[in-house]
Amino acid sequence: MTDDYVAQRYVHLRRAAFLMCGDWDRAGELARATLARALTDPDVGDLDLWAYGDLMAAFKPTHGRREHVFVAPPEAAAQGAADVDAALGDVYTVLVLDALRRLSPKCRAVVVLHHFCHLSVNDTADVLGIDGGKVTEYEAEGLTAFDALMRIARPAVAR
Amino acid sequence: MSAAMTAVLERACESEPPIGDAVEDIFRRAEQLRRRRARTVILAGLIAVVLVILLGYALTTVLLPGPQPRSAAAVAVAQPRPSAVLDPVLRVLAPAVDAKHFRVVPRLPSSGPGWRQYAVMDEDGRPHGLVEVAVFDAPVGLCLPVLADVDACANPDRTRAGIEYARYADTEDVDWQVHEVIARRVVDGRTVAVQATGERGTGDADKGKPPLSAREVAQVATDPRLLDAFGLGERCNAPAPACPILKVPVRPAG
Repeated sequence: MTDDYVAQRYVHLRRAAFLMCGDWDRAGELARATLARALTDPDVGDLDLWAYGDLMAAFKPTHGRREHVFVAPPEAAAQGAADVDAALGDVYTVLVLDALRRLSPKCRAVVVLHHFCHLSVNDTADVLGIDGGKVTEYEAEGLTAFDALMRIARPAVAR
Repeated sequence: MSAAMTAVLERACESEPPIGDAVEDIFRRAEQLRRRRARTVILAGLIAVVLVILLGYALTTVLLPGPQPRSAAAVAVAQPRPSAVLDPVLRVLAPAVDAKHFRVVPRLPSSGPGWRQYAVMDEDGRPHGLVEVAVFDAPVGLCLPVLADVDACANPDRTRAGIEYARYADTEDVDWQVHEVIARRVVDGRTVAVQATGERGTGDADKGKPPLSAREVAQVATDPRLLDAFGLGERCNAPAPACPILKVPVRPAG
């Protein structure tokens, strides 16, 4: 596995993890751990599917532990109102993350894997360990909730 | 898959920070994982080996019987002696042989459980026959044979030490001349047979003469030290194929 390939996969996995947790630091940590395991695990078949499965396993809800609270990107606070475009971009990111946070973890994972990672319904089902019908249900549920929230968010972004 | 949804999600990631040293860190972590995995495999192997050893030890300890205490009465072995009397049988036998200016030495195979045999040589080192000693247990009794009548029992002589004995001299065959004494300690039935045989196959009555006379053999056989010279449990009671063949066999009763 070359450095370029690892770098490319790292960027993509970190983005997927960021959409799941809303924290770039945690997303980076999870992506690094996943790729390190992928480099050493002898049973890795399809590297991409294996990596998505390993990454998403970190977001399975655990008993007695609250889900990580989504946070705003640090750049927004640092730059303040000086850069209006950057600030608006950060607000947009916060709104998207907030919309994702309102979904259940599994539904969020389906949205991210299918719409951001471009996995097919079957691959998404395999990665998450659920059947294809359930994937379709989660996807519809996510899109519905997302559309409604994005409609509310659009005016705020545009202002 | 919705292209609009994909675009929304991708736009939300536009503010991502630079990757920094992430690639080097990933390879460093992978190396650490490999080392940890190798250590785990080695440790597991060691634990498995230790478990197998412990299990084997435990099973052999539990299932196999421990060392049994040896019974002196049941095992026929020569008893250890001080070096000064390394062969107590020879100690009893030697004076009688030496008195006739012969030499007596163990003859291989020199001993077994219940018997000893010795070669006798003259002053020039020429062989002069053989002395064989065998012990028996006859607690119930013993029929001392009569050479002239196979069905009769001899009337034994008795020593003051309480030993009954019978002497036999069979010198008709010049090639196998024998003086033999069978002696039995009355108190416990312990019996010894001493057989002195002249050199065989000489074809000459004088050359084939036994090294000890019947009287001398009787002196040796009735010496109480001779019976004590054998270890407890040593005996030639049948079946005892390794014991010497006596011209006059000993047949304990019972």
